[in-house]
Amino acid sequence: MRYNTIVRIAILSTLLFILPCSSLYAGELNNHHVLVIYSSDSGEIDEHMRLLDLMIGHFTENIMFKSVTEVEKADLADKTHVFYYGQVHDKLPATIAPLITSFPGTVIALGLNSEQLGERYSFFTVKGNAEYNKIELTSNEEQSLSVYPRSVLVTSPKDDVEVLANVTNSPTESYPLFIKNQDNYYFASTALHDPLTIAFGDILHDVFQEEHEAVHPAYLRLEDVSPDSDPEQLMAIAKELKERDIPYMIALISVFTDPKNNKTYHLYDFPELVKVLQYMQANGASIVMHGYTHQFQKEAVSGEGFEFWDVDNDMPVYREPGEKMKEEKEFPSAEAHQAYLTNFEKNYIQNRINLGVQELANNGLYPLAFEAPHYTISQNGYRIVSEHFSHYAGQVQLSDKDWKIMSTSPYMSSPSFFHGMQLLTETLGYVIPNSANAIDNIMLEAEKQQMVRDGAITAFYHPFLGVEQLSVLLDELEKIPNLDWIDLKQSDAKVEANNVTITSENGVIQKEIDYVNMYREHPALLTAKLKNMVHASLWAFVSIGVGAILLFSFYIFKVVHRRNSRRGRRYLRRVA
Amino acid sequence: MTTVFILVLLLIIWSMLFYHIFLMQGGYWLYSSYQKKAEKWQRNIPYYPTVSVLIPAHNEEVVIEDTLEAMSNLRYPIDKLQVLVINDNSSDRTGEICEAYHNRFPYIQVIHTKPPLGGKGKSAALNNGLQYATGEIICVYDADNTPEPDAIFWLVLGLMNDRKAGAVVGKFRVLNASKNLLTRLINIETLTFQWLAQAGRWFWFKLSTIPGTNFAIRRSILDELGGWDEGALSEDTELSFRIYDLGYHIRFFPNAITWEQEPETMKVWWRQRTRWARGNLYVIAKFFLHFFKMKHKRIGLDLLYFMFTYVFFFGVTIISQGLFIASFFTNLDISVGFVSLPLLIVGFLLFVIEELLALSFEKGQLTAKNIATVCLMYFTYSQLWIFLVIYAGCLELKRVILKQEVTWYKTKRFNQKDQPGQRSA
Repeated sequence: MRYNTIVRIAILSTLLFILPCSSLYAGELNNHHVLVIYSSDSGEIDEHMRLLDLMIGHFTENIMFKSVTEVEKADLADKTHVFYYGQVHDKLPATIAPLITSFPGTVIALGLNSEQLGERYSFFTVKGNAEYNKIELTSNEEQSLSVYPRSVLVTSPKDDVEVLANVTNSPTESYPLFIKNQDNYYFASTALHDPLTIAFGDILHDVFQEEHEAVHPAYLRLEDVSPDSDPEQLMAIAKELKERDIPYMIALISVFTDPKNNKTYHLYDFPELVKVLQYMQANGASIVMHGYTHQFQKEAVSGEGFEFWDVDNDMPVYREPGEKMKEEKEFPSAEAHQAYLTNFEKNYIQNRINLGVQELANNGLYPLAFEAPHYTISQNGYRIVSEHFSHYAGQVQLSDKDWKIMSTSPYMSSPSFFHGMQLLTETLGYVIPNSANAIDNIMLEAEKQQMVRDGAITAFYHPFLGVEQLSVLLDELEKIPNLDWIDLKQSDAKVEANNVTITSENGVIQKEIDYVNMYREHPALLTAKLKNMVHASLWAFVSIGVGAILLFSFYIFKVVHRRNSRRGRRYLRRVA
Repeated sequence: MTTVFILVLLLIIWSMLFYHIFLMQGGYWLYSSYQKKAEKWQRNIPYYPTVSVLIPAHNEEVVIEDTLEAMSNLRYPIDKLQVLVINDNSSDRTGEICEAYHNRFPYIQVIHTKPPLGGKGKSAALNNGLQYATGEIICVYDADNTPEPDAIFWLVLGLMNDRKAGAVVGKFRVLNASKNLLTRLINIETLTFQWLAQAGRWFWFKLSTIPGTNFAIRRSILDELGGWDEGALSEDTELSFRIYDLGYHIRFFPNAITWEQEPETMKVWWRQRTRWARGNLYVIAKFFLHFFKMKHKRIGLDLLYFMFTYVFFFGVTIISQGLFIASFFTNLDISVGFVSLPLLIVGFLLFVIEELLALSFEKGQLTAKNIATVCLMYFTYSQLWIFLVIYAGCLELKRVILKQEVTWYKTKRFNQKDQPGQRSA
């Protein structure tokens, strides 16, 4: 009896211990409701707000953005935290200060205009700017972050103010970066950028009073795997990762265009590669759909082109490849033009997602996340992707004006502009080919990430570099304490496309595929399936054939042997 | 697209090869067990039924003497035996020889038929003979056959012990096997046909096909069926299908052995096999069109087999070999991959091993010479069949389109006096 009780307690404790680890560390199971009031250059949400969104998205999905001119009292009603982001100098409406003052929850101000926030923000004054090149967390003075010289707002806090982070320029020049007075916080920078996000990100745990465990979620993504990939190289990598018991992701492209002859190849044209990928999927890998072709213009090489961004015009995809964009004058109004563009982009993205998911599923490969080629996709694009995918891997394009405005969060996140998608953030970059310091640089980044209590240790690797470099990288990564390799299949991922629904839970992938409809819409997929089935069965034919040859050889031996024995007996009888 | 096409072809070819493996396995098991069954049946002979042996003969002077000699040596109660030679419009000495034998052995009888009733082919000759046959059981032998003395006994024993058997089919061996390369090839082919197709199908499905000679059938069945189909070139296969449709099976019983002469020249071989192929195509067409009207659908399996053999198998072999040749001249973009090589090798070895296993069942047949012949056969004799089936298909098509009458080509016989000791094999 006592033994049973002990066993039950042990099982329960194990479950309690395991369950929290299986989450992806993003904002879950909390009641935080956040309002971000902002003063931006355009009056619109821009890349700065979106980066803040990314940071807050680690703690909650309930994030509302309001321009300082639009905010009303009702907007604060159900909120637990209010952020004010003064990105530009602004004359705040007179209503703001009373709203902040009367707000019962936590307030966090960033950047400019804090003096207009009323009583709650009288615990410091801002006196100009200063340069800094190092960031220190007061909770961890041994570690610091070096940065290129940047500007900080110089504050002089009152005595009882708690300094959570400092920036320094020399041993003698130190300025408060993040300060706290009761439940009011101030971050003395107009911009959030790497590696400020490290310090900011870690302190946000205190702001939200979320004492996340100091476990570093980690993943390795094998990047740009396409029909062109070498199955042997992939297999070597798969075995290495399996041996180390490391789950990983494969950023997979279904279609490859050979630049030499401009011929298009599909994954299903390479059954051996598909077999290896299926093996990988069954032995630790989760598939991430890395676009459909990883190219926009046909002449571009798959894996190198931009698929969801018209890089020639630096804008979302508003035209067919090779065609000119429709001009506004062709439409009755600017609104009609915009509606056409938005709709075009929507159809374009949806079509490619549907094609990609269906093609992968038809090959027995089930994507659980999406990654836009070169991480480039518009804000509208994120909305469309979120209708199909629950998880997104990589970095994040923060602006529709310039694809290069791109960043990431130090931890997993679910920002509001992801419309419910979880970001599997990527923080360490990748092993740059022919770079002697490639792995050292990754490890330096990993060191920074460890300053965030649950900072993600996530990188990608091109399989064409071979297994040796990967081994070195893994050796280094595995030295990091409290590393927790993410198995995407353990999360509640969901992918929905035409005729295909894929879900994962507790390591098991479930799929619902309407093959009849899918093949009716894309007969090429049926042909491919049949072809692969037959192809796979050809080796089975050989095996059965060899088996029959051996069996019949044995029969011949038996028949001949029996006849000879009979003849021998007859001879002996005659002789006798 | 070409790759898909090739893969489908491979799939069909290999389905057939697997079916052959399956049949050969059945053949082996039948080989291992039929002697025991024969011994058991020998202990159970309630009575000897009356037997009529029908021998259709048209200008058979070269071989008929040997045939009748073999008939005179049959070990079966004389008073129950009637041997009926249907001398069908012969212009040579066939009739004379037969009459001579009749004088020595009264149970050997001759019916001389002349046009308009005679000279209309084997089926018509058999139907003519049937009118004079008095036996409860009808046996049929070709005029070039020399059955072993116990052949009739075993055939009758099969029918007596198997009520469901409408007919019993014996085994035939090639009399002139060592005459030349062609007859050696035919000998190997016939042995494999019997142990793989006949024995295998019998073992698994209780199906086998009447080969036109060395078989016994219940008279009552022939009466019910109205005799042979005179429109069929391959009257034996056609008859088999109708027996099945009555609900009987056709037993393959290898104890009953006959020796027969096979073509010794390519020309004769070509004409004989063209007739077979045309006959089988006729049967496929006839029963395929009436399949849903047939009461016993099990025969569908055989029909399908014939379809595969004569239509699909040869069809895809022709196409795949065509593509193989075409691939030397143009890039067909075929990406079957490395597996095609092991497939080719295993396909060849399967062919060889099945032939050798069939040879091993027959005493003295698994010789070095025959093994070498089997290897050669794959690349030569077997390929000839492809052209033959195309040719036969065209002729049948032409016959149907032009609504021509079927004509019976009689296989040319060869004098075997110069082949002593053949029966020692």
